[in-house]
Amino acid sequence: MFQVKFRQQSFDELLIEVTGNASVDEAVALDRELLNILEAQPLKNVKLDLGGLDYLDGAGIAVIRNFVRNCKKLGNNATLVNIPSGGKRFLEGHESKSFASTGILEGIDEPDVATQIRHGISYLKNSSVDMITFIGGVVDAFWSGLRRSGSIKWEGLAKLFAKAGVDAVPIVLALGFLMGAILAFQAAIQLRKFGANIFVADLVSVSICLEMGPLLTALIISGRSGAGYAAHIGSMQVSEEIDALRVLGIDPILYLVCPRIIAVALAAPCLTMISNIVGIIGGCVVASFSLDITPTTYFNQVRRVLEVSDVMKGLTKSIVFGIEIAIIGCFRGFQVRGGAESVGYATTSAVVTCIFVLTVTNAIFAVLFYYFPRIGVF
Amino acid sequence: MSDNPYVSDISVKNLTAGYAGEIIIRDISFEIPRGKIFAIMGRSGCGKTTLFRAMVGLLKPVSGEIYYGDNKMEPISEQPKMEILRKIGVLFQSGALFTSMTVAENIAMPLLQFTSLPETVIEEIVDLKLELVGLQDAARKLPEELSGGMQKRAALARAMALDPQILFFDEPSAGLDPLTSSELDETIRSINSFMGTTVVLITHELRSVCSVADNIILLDPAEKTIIARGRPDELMQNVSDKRVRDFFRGGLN
Repeated sequence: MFQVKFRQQSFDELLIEVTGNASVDEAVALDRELLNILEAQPLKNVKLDLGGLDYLDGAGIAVIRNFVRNCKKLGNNATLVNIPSGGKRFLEGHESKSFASTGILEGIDEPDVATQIRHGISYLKNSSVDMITFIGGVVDAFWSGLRRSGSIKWEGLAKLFAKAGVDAVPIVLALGFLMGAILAFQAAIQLRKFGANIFVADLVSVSICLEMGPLLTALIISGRSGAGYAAHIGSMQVSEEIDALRVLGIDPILYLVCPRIIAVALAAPCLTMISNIVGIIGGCVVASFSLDITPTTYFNQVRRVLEVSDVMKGLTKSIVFGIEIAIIGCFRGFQVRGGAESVGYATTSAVVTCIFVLTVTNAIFAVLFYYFPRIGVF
Repeated sequence: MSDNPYVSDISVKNLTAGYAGEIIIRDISFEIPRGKIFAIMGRSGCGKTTLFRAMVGLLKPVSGEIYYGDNKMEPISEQPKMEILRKIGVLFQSGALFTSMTVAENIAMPLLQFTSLPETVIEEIVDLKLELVGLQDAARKLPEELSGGMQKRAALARAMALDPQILFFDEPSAGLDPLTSSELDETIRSINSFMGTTVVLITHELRSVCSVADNIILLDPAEKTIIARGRPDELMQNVSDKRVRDFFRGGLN
């Protein structure tokens, strides 16, 4: 506890005496009380006597400094007397100091719009250059890895494939099935109006094999492997493991990135194929329940309308998607500088970049397939 | 050991280095004699780690050269010099063990990378190195299962896997208690004296440097370059330069 007493000492001087504890627990009350006294009295010179203090901590000192600041603001002259020895370093002569620290808790001003645009453009430029350099590094690593047989370590590949591919099977099964079922369900409502029930098989099989299957699978892989690679390589960057690889003469791109690209490029079409199959089955289930189409009729229609080239086109896309996801995930991991926050950012930005790039690639493929229908047909 | 033709000097010539346009160290030149323990010292922020990273090729210098014997060190990212990398071992500040591998696999890694020894021989070497650092029981453990001191020792075993002629230690005592860190000093000294390994210590730990180092260079954050060099006892006696005096006196008081 503290006590504050004040009295008029001379015709223009007020003496305030603080006794007891000026600690962090009392700081709010003390600050308010001192301010109240200052605001209530009309005298110009204020003397604060700290001789009676038993305890003074950082918060107490801050309150006294704030008192001095308030005095200045209100046009009073503050003097501190009998400062306890521990507080001298922080309080002595403080009355005459200007308040350089004012506003340090306010956020740093945002730069103006022009500067922000300039920063944005230079960031875009730098990251594009980095990305292209990285892809160049990957191509170079593959080339040198293939030339010097044995320098790509294949042992880890099975493990990576299992993680990127096999472990993703359950979620691909679940989401693929649901996707087929939803497509069929939505289509059923419309098709029933025209009595065109049987075409649900056309719609589900073609759209799943060409678009939904590859894209859905790629999105699942981005979330699992893309983000995982970014976080893994990012933490390796933070804990100097990448540097350790380099001084062992091991090219981190050849050692970490190449096997991951191969693993995901292999896993993506396999998962896409699984997703296609369960998607069509999902469509069949809905069709037989809500459109009275027997599975035999459904699959006969699928056979009639779905061409091998449609499936192959989807799988071709998924291989490209897989390569992109692995490159983006690893690239974001290598960009990590500093600590944990940077790893988190890399993970997020890996997924976001993947989604963006996948969508753009998908659009490019749509145009390519339109003009060159033979692409992807082997 | 000094007549071993493979044990090489390191010479750093007019090295200037930094990050993103900011110069951290400028115009640094020194020679590291073979078979000696050489310490790079200085206050925090003086550029010890920058110098170390440039020396092992992790950082491209702005200007200047680093020679291992007659071999010029190139930045690893541009043109890795296998013959140099083969000869150096590095103990990173954090240990930098590969977390997805067991301790034994970590130590086997450089052997698999640089040699084509049969697996049984590699196993023997791994065993030997683990024994050297006193970690025989930890071979099959993952790095995360080890204490900080054990991780450092495992990393040391990995750094020594290829019997390097030059060993770099980046802040070897960081995060270790005084006893563990003086044990590590003892290990460093014995590696140096038994195998003639040149040791480069990057540290600000005066106690360990004074007990093990043959030569010291002292970097200064304001000057960004070497302000003193010599044997530990010479530098301790140095009274003419206030910065050197403060560094050595201040540290031991």
